[in-house]
Order: sequence, then C-alpha cells, then structure tokens
Amino acid sequence: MIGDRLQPRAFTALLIALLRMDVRNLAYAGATGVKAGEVLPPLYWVVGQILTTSLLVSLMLFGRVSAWFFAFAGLSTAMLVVFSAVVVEFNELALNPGDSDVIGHRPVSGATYAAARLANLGVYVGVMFIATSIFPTVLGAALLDGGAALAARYLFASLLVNVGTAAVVVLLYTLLGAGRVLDRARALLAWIQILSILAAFYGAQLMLRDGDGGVEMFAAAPPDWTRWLPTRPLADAVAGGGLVTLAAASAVVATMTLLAGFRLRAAWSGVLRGEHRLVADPAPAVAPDAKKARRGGVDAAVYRLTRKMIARDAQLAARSWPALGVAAATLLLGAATDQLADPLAESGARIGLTLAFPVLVAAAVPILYQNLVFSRDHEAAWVLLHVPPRAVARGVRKATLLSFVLPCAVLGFGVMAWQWRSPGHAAAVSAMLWLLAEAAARLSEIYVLVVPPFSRPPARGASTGRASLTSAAVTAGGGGVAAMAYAAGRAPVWFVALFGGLLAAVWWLDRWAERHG
Amino acid sequence: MAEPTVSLRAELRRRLAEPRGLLQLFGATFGVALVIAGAAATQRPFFERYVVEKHPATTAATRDLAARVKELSADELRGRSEAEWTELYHAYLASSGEEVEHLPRAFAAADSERIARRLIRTWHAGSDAQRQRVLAFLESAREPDLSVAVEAASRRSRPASQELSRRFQDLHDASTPLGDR
Repeated sequence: MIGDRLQPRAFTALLIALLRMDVRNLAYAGATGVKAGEVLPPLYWVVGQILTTSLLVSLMLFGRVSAWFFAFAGLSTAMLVVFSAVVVEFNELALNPGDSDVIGHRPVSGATYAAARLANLGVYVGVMFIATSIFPTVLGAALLDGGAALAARYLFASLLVNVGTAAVVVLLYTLLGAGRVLDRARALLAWIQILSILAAFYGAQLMLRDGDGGVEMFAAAPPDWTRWLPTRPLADAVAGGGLVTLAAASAVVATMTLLAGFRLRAAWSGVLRGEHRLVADPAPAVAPDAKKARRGGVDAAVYRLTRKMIARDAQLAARSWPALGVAAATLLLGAATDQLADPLAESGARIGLTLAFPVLVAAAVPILYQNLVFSRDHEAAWVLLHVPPRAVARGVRKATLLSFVLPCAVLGFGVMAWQWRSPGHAAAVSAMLWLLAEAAARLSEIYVLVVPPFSRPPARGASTGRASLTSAAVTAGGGGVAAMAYAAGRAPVWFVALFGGLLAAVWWLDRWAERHG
Repeated sequence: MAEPTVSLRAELRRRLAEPRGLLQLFGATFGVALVIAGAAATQRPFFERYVVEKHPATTAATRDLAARVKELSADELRGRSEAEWTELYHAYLASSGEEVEHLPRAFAAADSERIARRLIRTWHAGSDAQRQRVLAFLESAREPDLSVAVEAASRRSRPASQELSRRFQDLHDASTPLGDR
C-alpha cells in the first residue's frame, strides 16, 4: 500500500522523464522539420519560433506606436502562441491516458503523479512565459512612454496571460468536453508559430512600404471587435498603471487555475486507475460504403476518397494549409491596414494587395497537388492505378478546389464585401480567384500530378518539389492577369473582357489536360 | 562549414539528454535573446526614422495651384477633387515657405472635418518634422474645433517629444474654454 503521500525520489524521476518527453515530443515535427533523434530537441525549435515571432512583432512596432498598443500586441501574440502550444502538446504536458500503461503497475502514489504532472506543466508554461516576454518587456521599457514601471506591469500581465491561457485550455479539455475538436485542430495549430512569423515578416514589409500609416492608424484607433479580447483591459492596465484591473485579472486567473487544477487532479486519478480515456476515437476508415462508392461514377468516387483523405490525414492538411498562409496573410493584413481597396471603385497602389490575393491562392494550387502525392497510407494507392487517369485528375481537382480554394474564396469574399460594402464587387474578385485556381489546377494535373495521388510516402523536403516551377508559371500568368486588372482601372467593361479571357484560358487548358491524359 | 564530428555530436546529445544540459541550452538562448533585446532597445531613434508619411515631391503645378487657392472661395475649394486636396496638403507638409502659409485657414474654412482626418493621420504616422507642420497648421488655422479634434485623436498615438507635447498642450489650452479643461 503506497498511500497518497508525495514520494520525493519518485517525483524527481517522474518529472525528469516527463520533461525529457516534452523536449523530444514530435507534435511539432511537421512544423519544425526536426526528428526526435536530432541533437537539438524539437521543443527547442518551437521556443526559437516563439522568440522569432515575438522579436518581429516587437521590432515592427518599436518606436511606431504607443506603449498601450505595444503591450496589447505583445500580450495578444503571447495568448495566441501559448494557446496553440498547450493544445498541441496537451497530452504530453497535462493528461496522457497512456501513462497508466507505463506507470500504473509501479508503486507511484496519486499525489506523486499529480505533483510531477503539475510541475511539468508549470515548467512548460514558464518556458513559454520567458519566450513570449523577453522582447516586449525590454523594448517596452525603452519606449518614450515606457519605463521600468511599465515593464514590470507588462511582465506581470504576461504571466497572467500565459497561466490564464494554459488554464483555459485545460478547462476546455476537462470541463467543456472540447478535447475532440481541439485534437482535430492540433496538427493545424502546430503551424501557428510559422504562420505568425510569416504574418509578422510580410506585415513588417508591407508596413514599411505603406506611406499612409495603416498600422499606426490601426494602433491609434483599433476596431471595436478588439474590445472582446481579454488582452485589451490588460493592456489598459499595463499602460495606464491600472493596478485594480491587474488585481482583478489575477483573481480571475487564480480561480481558473485552481479549477483547472481540481479538474486535472480528478483526471489524473482516473489515469492511474486506467479509467480515463480522453484521446479521440481512431480516425474513420477511408473506404466509403459500397452503395455510396457507386454513386456518381469514377470521378465522384475519387473525389470522395480525396476529400476523406484530406479530412482524416491531419499531416496532409498540416502540410497543405501553410501553402495558402501567405495569401491569407495578405488578405487579412490588407484589410487590417486599409490597403485592400476595391479595384472596381479605385485605382492606384491601394488595389495592389486586392489583386495579389487571387494570384497567391492560385500559386498555392500546384503545391497542394504536390502534397496530395504523399500519404502515410501510400501502400493502399494501388487501387488508383486501375482508374482512368483523367477520372483521377477530375476527382482530385474537385476535391482540391472545394477543400482548400473554396474556403479562401469565401473568406476573401466575406472580408472584401465587409470592407467595400459591395458584395457584387467582392464576388467579381472571388470569381477571378476561382478562374485562376481552375487554370492552375489543370496546369498542375499536367506537370505535378504525374503519379497517382497518395502513392508516395511522406518525404522531408518534398513538399514543393516539382511544383515550384508550375507555381512560378501560375504566379507569372496570374501576375499578368492582375496587371491587366490593375491597368483596367475601375472600368467594368475591361473586367468583363478579362473574365472572358480567363474563361477561354481555362477551356484551352482543360482541352490540353484531356489530350495529355 | 564542416560537420561536427561524431564524438562532438554524441557528446552534445548526451549533454542535452540531461536536465542540466537542457537548462544550459535554454538559459543560453534566453540570454542571447536578452542581449538582442537590450541592444535593440538602445536604438529607438533608428526605428523612429522609418516612421514617416510618404508623399511625392511638390511639383510646379502644385505650387501654382497653392497660389491660386488665395483666389478661391471656401465653396470652390471644397469642390476641388480629393487628389488636389492631397497634393496641396502634401505641399504644406513638405514646405514651410510663404507660398503655403495661407493654406491652413483656407482648408479649415472650406472643410474642417476633411482636413482634420488628414492632420490626425499625419500625427499618427508622420515623422517629428511632419508633426511640427501639423502643429504649425493648427496654429495658423486658428480653428479651435480643429485643434480639439486632433488633440483628442492623438491620445493613443505614439508620444511626441517634450517640445511638441508642450506646444500641443498650449494650443489645446488656448482652444478649450476654461470650464471644459
């Protein structure tokens, strides 16, 4: 009988083992490109990415905005990256039902296990806290309206954000039953850091080229939706010396942390007894039922198979979505910095990003095709060798456009319609995006999809491969179309002619792809 | 660059498998980050140099247009295109000569809301020199509502130098009735 008291030696051994598993955890392998056996552990690169994001955001805003917005941006970035990091590594950090198989039969008390797990989570959140706080704290202190007191308040607010965000994730898993949803999003969340770096890098370049001060205007008068972010009152307290707000926030975070601790304690007891099961059920089988498979012919069957593979293979989705990251960043940064003007109502430099968005989405299509070639279930791809290649190409095209391009077109339409208050004009740009993507898909069928989809094992460094040249060709062609739209300058008749030309190009490429076989 | 030898790699791996080695690795990384942050923090003037509202150089045509503004009524100036307002405003920002000194009063009389939006943008996104021109504009325009509007919008902007802040405060005090202060 080991009772429920803390065992110091077992605690130390268990904590060291858990920390080793944290730093060698492969949850971020896809986003960092490292393997468990490499000299520098995967977690090190995650911390490096967080530091890079924090550095870029801080340098971008240093000397350009008020201390209030500087604090708001730093705290919001910290909240985003810590949320994604804790979700991605939740099983390793906080609650791993597999632990019962490893230590369930050993003489480890519940208190020891709980203390080791809690300390492990604490160390991880501590590392995240340091990584997200160094740059904004030091640079914030050097702002004209900064100073040592502001830096101290920022550091405290950052601690609240880090601990509070981790507590929220724990509560989402253990109290609100959101584990299944978060598990599905895990592979995509692993790319948050990379996307943040891209957004900050491209955002900084756009900001330097923007002569109208879009970022400064945004910083001085942020839109109303930012009032809903918990980091906004914290930034008010950091910049305005609101100690009452900080004290109230501390009480809220302490309550959430205590509640999360109680929920985890209950879950850990369950794990040791082998009762707790949190991981999602295995992914559904790929094969649709026979009746469904016959519906709609071979094209439709390939389409359904491809959609199913995209939905169930989180690695495939995680490899593919970043290809659209630059396009999404361009759209959102353009909207945020007032550089996403309506090409049917304005002319000049402010329509540049609007026209770049469809081209960037189309340029990602060959990369998406390249990623579809690889699958961890590649050995089952023999079935596609017995299907006419054109049927495969049509099914894959439909699945790619509907799974990846349609969400971009809808997002673009929504953002542009909201910005311009003109759904018709937004629909015209989204239609241009769709036609460019259709053309890019047909070109990719000829030059990228030269082997059946899902027929190769995932290989490091192969995410672009032969797609690069096709993507460059699409960028050049799409750039030409965008240049013509730019030159058309508010003249609807030219846009109609442009759509006619695009439709003709898609028809011609379709004929070419059909002949190519 | 030469690859590390097998023994060095093995030694590194062995060290990084221990808590002490990991602590040293992360500690050194955070130390380097702290040094970079400290170095950047001393270079604020370098970063501030890139905060500037960009505009094209003033052309002879714009100078002619600025001269003709004297002969225009407020309604006629209000009816001028956005592009012409932009050119004239940029000409004012770029020059402190006599040829543009009449523009603030003319703009304020023609459309004070429209010119307030431009002044606020320059206050947020302009360099120190451009901010000085904004203050000069407000001083010349002698339009209390304009000064109050720009001052109100500037509260969440990056702070100005002490001298600019003092001038702005004086202007605000002069524009605001005693009871509202």
